[in-house]
Amino acid sequence: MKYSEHDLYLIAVASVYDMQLHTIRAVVRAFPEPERLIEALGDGSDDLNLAGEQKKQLLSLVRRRREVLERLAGYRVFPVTMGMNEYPRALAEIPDPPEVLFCKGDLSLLNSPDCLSVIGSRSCTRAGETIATRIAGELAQAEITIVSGMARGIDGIAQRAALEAGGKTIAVLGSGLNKIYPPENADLFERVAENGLLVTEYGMNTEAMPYHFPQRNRIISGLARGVLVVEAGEKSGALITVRCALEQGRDVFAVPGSVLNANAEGTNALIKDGAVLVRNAEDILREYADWAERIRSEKTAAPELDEEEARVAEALKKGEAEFDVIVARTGIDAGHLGVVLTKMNLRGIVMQSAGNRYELCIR
Amino acid sequence: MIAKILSFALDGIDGYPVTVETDIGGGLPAFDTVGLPDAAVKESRDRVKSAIKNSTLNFPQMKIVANLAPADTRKEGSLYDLPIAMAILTATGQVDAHATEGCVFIGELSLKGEIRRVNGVLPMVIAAASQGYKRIVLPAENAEEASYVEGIEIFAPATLIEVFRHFAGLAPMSPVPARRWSDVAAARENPAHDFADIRGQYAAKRAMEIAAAGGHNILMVGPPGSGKTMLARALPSILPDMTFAEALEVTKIHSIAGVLSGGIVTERPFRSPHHTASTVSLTGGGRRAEPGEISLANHGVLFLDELPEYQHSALEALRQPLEDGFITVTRVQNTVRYPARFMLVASMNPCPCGHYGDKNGQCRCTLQQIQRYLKKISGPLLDRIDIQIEVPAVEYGEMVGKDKSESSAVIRERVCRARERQLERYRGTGLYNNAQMDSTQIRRWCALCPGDEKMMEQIFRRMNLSARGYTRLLKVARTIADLAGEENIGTEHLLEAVQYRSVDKKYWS
Ligand SMILES: Nc1ncnc2c1ncn2[C@@H]1O[C@H](COP(=O)(O)OP(=O)(O)O)[C@@H](O)[C@H]1O
Ligand SMILES: [Mg+2]
Ligand SMILES: [Zn+2]
Repeated sequence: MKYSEHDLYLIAVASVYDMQLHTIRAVVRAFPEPERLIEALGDGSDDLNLAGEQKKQLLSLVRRRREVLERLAGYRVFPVTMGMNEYPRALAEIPDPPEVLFCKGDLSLLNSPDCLSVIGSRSCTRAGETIATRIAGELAQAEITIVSGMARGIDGIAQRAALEAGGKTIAVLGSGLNKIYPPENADLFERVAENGLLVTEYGMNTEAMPYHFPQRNRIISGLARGVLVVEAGEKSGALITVRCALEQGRDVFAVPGSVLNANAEGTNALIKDGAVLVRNAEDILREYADWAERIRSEKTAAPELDEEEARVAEALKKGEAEFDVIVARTGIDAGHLGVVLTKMNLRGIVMQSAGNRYELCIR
Repeated sequence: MIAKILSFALDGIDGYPVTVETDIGGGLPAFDTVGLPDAAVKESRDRVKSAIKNSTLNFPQMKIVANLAPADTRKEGSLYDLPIAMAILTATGQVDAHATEGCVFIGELSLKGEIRRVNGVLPMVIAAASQGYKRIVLPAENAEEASYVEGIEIFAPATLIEVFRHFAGLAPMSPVPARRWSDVAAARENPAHDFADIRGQYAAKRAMEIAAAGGHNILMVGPPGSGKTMLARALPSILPDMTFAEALEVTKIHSIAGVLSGGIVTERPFRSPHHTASTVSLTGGGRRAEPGEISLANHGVLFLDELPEYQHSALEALRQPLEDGFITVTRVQNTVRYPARFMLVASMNPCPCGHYGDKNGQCRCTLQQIQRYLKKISGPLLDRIDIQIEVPAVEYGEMVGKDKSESSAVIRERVCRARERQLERYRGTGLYNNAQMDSTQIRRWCALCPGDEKMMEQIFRRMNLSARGYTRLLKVARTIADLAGEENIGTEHLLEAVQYRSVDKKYWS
């Protein structure tokens, strides 16, 4: 990667604790030359609207801007500025693109044309979990990169599902890469660093602040072709991402839910306002010609079923059912049904969910 | 004058002889007990004195010293009342010393001279018989538990005066008639909780059968009211009957703990301590180093309902006995070892509200809350639970009429045959069921054909099962093969065994 003098300057400025986009811009606009900034900060004539601690840090980082890059490389973190080739073209089009992105992981994903954001409620329901897992998994199998915020709930679930399916995922954080948030997703952080990409516009040690997340959301939608909302209450943060997506001209997809489910109020309202109604990955893939080709044809081709498997499939025709209900409907004894269901599960014919329930994955 | 009378004491569940020596001599009238007596033994002086007087016998107005030998072990409880009284009667010449020679005495006295029941009689009688003692006198209320022991004559009088008359040659007592284990075993009643009464729950019943057949610990995860407690209570009904040796061991422990009602314990124990139980009450210990719930559950079932509610320290304390099959309880002077070979049956809700995974999706717990709840169960404890299943609340509406539940007796037949196969296979290895296999033994007894090995690799990758679960899965597959009467583990057995690991992935992944 090639960094110009100006890139080094930008990176040093962006590395200051809790630096906001407008401040980065203000600094660089007031002092196009780093040497001038150093002088002004040195004699206190800078006029910048920054906290004292931030000014001290700014001065020291800009002075040693080459070292900053080395230090980041020590963490295997690579910053990308808007002027660089690696900078995501999709982001460059949006209003207020980040000046600097701190990245860790597979940098080639920055310019992947096949990104979709999957977001939703942080306190999701089991149904939401199942849907997010399934759709994100299917998208990942169609080689779509799942972009999300690694938050509790739907975000993290979708990203785990993508990795589980052997796919790629980009996590956009509202904190620096040294400050994992939320802590329970620390394992996911590691896995994304290995098999995906972590991105943030905040310097390494910046803590997650509440006001970072709405900012961060514009990057989640900006990196992708569209945004899928799995579950969102009336006032869910996911709706902020949707607003960003609309401003950026991205498509909006939503999974419908029961009118009684508070967690579906947001998504149902989106659909009423014209978002694409999504029941499965196919509903999304169909929207784009190049993605539609990836719809798995074998899914519709019925797999060979032996006599017992056919009986199980018949028993599940009406929808998901508990193990015991399948025993009652098929007359297969419990021990042997375990064998049959494990086999069908391995072949992707049925899926098991919490409550020892099974459902058919074929038509 | 000096007199000696034999009695017994307990070390864990084993008995050893104690000699009660009395010396009666000149000096101011006094009565002392020496030889590490505890408070109850010291109090015996007053009981003995009153009991002798109220039995119209002579209590000497002299200096009396009663010594319990060996002097370096702690003597506990009130069982030395009777031997001390007999020693005094012998030392004062009211009973001939030859008459009591070689006879063991155990029993508490009331002030009126009645002989009261004491704890731990059975292990002492067994020890006395095996050490060659030929006669024993014990409380009438303890007669039944003792009556199964062979090779020793048992006398079970109700009062001190009866004992005096017998040994003074005035009115001989007749020994307690011996009871035979086979008679009791045959007279066993139908189980109170029968599998036939459990509707549906096919998956859970099958899992219970496998657990019973291989001695596997089992965890049930499900919402309130789904039948977890009912299933657990029915488990003893499909376990093989206890052998006489097992029954004696169980009775010994129950006798020591004082929870014995009547005679020998014939049913496998089912213990369900409340989740507020202290670590000591679970594992045993305390001032008297008494056996805890895990030892009372020996050869039976320890049921921990609502597992995450138990104190963390109490759950952790279960790990070692689950591994070893016994517990070492430490007390001031020495350590006592009690058997603790039980099947652990645990149940828990899937989440704090209890409804995660319910069909109607009424659970509103966040995933974070659920994870915090599940984390209360430590990995090492889970590692000792071979079978983990979900017990969902199933509506049986559509099954009415189609439901033909097997009785416990039928299931127990299959369990017994599978257990026989294990005993045959493990003869001479010290093992007696599949759950006990360690990693070397698993390699030896759970060999898979190359095709199956590949398949398992695939399954673990596809289903994202934890590698730690692999050995447990193999043990369970071994039991499924034994239930099927197969020499080797086959594909079918492995595929079924996967069912009993899927909870792990869904909840603790
Ligand atoms: N499958 C079933 N067949 C018959 N009775 C059942 C069944 N499941 C539950 N019950 C009854 O419902 C009640 C609650 O069961 P219980 O075992 O206490 O549930 P849990 O321990 O899972 O909360 C009990 O009275 C039990 O007898
Ligand atoms: Mg219960
Ligand atoms: Zn819940």
